[in-house]
Amino acid sequence: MFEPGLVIRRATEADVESLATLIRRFYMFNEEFDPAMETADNVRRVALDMAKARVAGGDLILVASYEGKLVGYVYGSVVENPLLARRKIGVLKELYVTPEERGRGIATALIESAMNELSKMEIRYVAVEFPSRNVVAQKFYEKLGFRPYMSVYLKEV
Amino acid sequence: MQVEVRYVKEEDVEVVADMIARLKTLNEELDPHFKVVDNLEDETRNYVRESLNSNNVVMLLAYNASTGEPVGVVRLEIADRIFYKPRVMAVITDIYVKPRYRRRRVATILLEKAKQEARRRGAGIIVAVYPANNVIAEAFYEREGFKTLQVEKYLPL
Repeated sequence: MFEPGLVIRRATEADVESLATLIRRFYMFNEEFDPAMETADNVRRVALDMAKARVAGGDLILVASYEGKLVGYVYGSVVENPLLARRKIGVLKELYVTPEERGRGIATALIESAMNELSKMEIRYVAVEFPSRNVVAQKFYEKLGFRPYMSVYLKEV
Repeated sequence: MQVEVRYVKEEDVEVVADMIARLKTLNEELDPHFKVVDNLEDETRNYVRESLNSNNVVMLLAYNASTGEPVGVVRLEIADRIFYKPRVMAVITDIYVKPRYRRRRVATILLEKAKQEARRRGAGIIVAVYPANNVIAEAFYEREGFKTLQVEKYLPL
């Protein structure tokens, strides 16, 4: 089903630097769609710290390795609301694949693997987040069968 | 924020090159056929320098009137269509506004100034060239009333 040479696995300490680059590129891409997503001046360093923390932490952090090179990642966590019958949902907050490896189904493979991981944790629903103006992300998730669920509106104070 | 527009000067080369590089990187994100070169920074710097020295190229810089900070740039080439009337055509090759200054109509101001400059140089038509997958540019020119003039097809070799 997946491309030969493609491996989706949990990120390890050895991935930290490549993962940081992918995280930074994800944020710089989203920044293009909305000024509220403007990146910090020290985004490079923060992305490295974030990559380290995520690899060490308990959240879901999967990477796509293609022919031995890190080419994409997905990051998500489990959000709980005890007032809901389905109190735990999975939320995928970041997804990125490097431009040169697009079109190989790597993003789809990352999402499917993430959903698979989350389904082992008594989770029925998985939500994905992306900037409303990122029509590329919107089209991608709709193609995979996701539907609008929550809306977040924003205003300058 | 009050935005004003002036010609790009020698001292702006770095900041303009950086904006052009970000535009090319955005294009890369939206379509792998626009994979950027490894020495993108050098190339954009040369591009801006050569543009400054060319009689057929106009580069306009939008800046914050109170601080002088550059916020966006437009580059246009004046071309001769040879076979068609009106013969003189202005071609917008690059337009970019820093993410933090989006949604304030900076690009519209740049476009208006570009149109003025094009008319002043005898152009009877202004066109914009951008990757088909650049949804942000597509929405912008659509909003500004541009229509499709030519199409560019490709075949990888």
